[in-house]
Amino acid sequence: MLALPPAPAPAPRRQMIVGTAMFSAAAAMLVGGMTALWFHFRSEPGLWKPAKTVIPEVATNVMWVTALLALAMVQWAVYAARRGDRQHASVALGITMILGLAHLNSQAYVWKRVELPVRGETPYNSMFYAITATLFVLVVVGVVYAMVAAFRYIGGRTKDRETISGLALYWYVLAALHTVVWFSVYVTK
Amino acid sequence: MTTIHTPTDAAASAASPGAGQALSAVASWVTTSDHKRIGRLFVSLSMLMSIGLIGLGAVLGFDRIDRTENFLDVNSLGQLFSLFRVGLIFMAMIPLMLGTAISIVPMQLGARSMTFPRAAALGLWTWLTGCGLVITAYAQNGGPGGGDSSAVDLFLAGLGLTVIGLVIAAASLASTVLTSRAPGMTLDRVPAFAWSSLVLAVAIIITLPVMLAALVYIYVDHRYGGRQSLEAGGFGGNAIYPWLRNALSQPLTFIYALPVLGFVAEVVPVFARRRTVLRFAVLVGVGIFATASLTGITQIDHTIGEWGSLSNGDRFKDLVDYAFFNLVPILGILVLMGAVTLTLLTGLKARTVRLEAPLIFGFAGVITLTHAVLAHLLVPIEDLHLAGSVYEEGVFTFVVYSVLLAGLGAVSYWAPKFRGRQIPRVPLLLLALGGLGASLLASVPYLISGFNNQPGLFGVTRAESMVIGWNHEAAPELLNTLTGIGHGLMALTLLGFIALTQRAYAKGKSAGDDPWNGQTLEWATSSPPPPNNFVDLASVASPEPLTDLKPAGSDA
Repeated sequence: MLALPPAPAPAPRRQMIVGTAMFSAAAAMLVGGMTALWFHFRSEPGLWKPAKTVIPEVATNVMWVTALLALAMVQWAVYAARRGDRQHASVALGITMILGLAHLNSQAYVWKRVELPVRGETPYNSMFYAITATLFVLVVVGVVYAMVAAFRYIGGRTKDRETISGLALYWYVLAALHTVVWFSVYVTK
Repeated sequence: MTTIHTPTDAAASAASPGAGQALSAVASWVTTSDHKRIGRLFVSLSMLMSIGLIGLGAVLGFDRIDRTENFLDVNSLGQLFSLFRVGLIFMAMIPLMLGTAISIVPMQLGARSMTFPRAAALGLWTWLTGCGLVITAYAQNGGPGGGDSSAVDLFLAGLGLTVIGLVIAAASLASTVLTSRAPGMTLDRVPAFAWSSLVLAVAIIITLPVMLAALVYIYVDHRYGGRQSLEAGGFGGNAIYPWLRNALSQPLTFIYALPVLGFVAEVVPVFARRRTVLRFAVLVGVGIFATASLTGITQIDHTIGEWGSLSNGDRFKDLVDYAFFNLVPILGILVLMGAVTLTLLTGLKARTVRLEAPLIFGFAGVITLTHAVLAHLLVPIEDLHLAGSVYEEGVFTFVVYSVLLAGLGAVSYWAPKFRGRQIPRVPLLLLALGGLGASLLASVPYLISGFNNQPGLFGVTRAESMVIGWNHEAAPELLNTLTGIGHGLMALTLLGFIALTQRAYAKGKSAGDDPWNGQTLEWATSSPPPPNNFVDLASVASPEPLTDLKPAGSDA
């Protein structure tokens, strides 16, 4: 067996950030593909939203603002973790989780208020639920990710700032995706 | 570099005797987070499924010999063909290449493990569960256009799970290449196979979620929206299905064959005992091929319309589209093969080339893939009326078999790292040549029949569509017989390969740590490698770190 020269200690690998970036790219392509199909169907006459259906816009706008607030919180967590401020980082991660849960709650409220059966005359009904449920699942992943990051950090891994940075990256992507869905499904309808 | 000499399989078998031993062995495989085992499971399972699917291809080929006396029920014909097509992509091509990469690439990078190995294991089991659901759904009259509504739901869910599993495994692989390289191994120094695996993984991450998006819509609409079949009405048939079909058609399937190029660029320098000439061209060639094929997801229609009915402006637009999507992949192959050929020529000049089976498998894969890309050039030309004919199936078969041939080559090349044994040379050479012959036999007759307007089964979801418009005159018996024989031969090649491999693993001679006189880091560890691959991290100063250590003048 050949003996290669031993290497010095490797540089930081940033595995969590790269892994999160890969997952985020897949999520972006998923939601991007769904949005493209949404607009494709929307452009076809006679196929779209039932006239009686009213989107509760206040709730959907609050949901969007919640996503942006979660973004601010997770960035605060990154800032605090970098400074070694364990107390503020923990609080920021906790608030991120709560805002994520609030986002899920808002989505459930919208589904209840919209009074739209999944089975409809046009594909709008099923597409509405498919795209919003997909985003719902992605937010659930974000909340679980925040929970894991918080437990690790509170549990003493205060030098593991990479996980929190990865979490922030995911929430940035999530906020961008939510903005796209919010604009497509709730604003332009 | 020092390593721990603890063959994992030997250690496992020494653990406990009898039934308990078998149970613990199964448990250790099911719960493993060792990338080598995860990759081997992907490879083994995909090979087993390939045999069944290629056997199905042979049955479909023979059934077409005479449509007046077909032995397959016309209602199940569409189902079987869609299983053949979906299965070969998601149960054979992608997992075979992904599995080989998961097994080998971390070692090529000098890493002790892959990044997120448990995620890769999750991907494996999710993929396998999805495959099981898809096969179960087909058995219950599911699949696109299936008669049983619940089974169609099961098919959609199963295919979705299969895609999710592959994406998770690909994300893990891409993260490994990007973050776990040995010190000094910059991205331009990674081995050609690792580079092509990275590009494949990124391509999977980018393309398959788009297909998943269509699947989610179809599933929700079909399961809860109450539509009776995917092709009924405007939803499934007119707008969604083409998006789904796009992932199963050329040029996107070319992407899944990327590691074929990486593999040939990996083995040629080893068997020529030369460093790669113009190595940068190899990396660029893979990139060009991938980029051009990847852009296929941005639009479905890149054809040249009927020439006589087009204005000059439209002709120009069609030609630009056509050239980008169809000619640029060929440029990628040319650039890469140019560098590979130069390397081979330098070896021939120095009389250092060894003719080994992995090299023949690699060339067989590239020849088949090049045939596919060249044959596909004619499909988008509407005046030739080849789209929808068996011509497209011929191209598809070429792509799939190129991957299978390169996959067999990869398994035979890295067999020492899989199990520490060498597969006998002569039978392997015969299998490589047989595989090349089988792929030509299975594909070329369909290319000829396509010009005779023999209708194909591509894109067909309703059984009646295959019968309406059928022109028996356009289905020459000889050509269809040859295709059936070609598929059958390929199934036999696979069976022979598996039998040979198993025999070699059980009774074969020990391979040694570096039987090929390799150039990359996987040959610097023991065969089979210890659980953590390497004890000490190596420092790398060139793309061929082992060649740097070997005597000057041998150049390899």
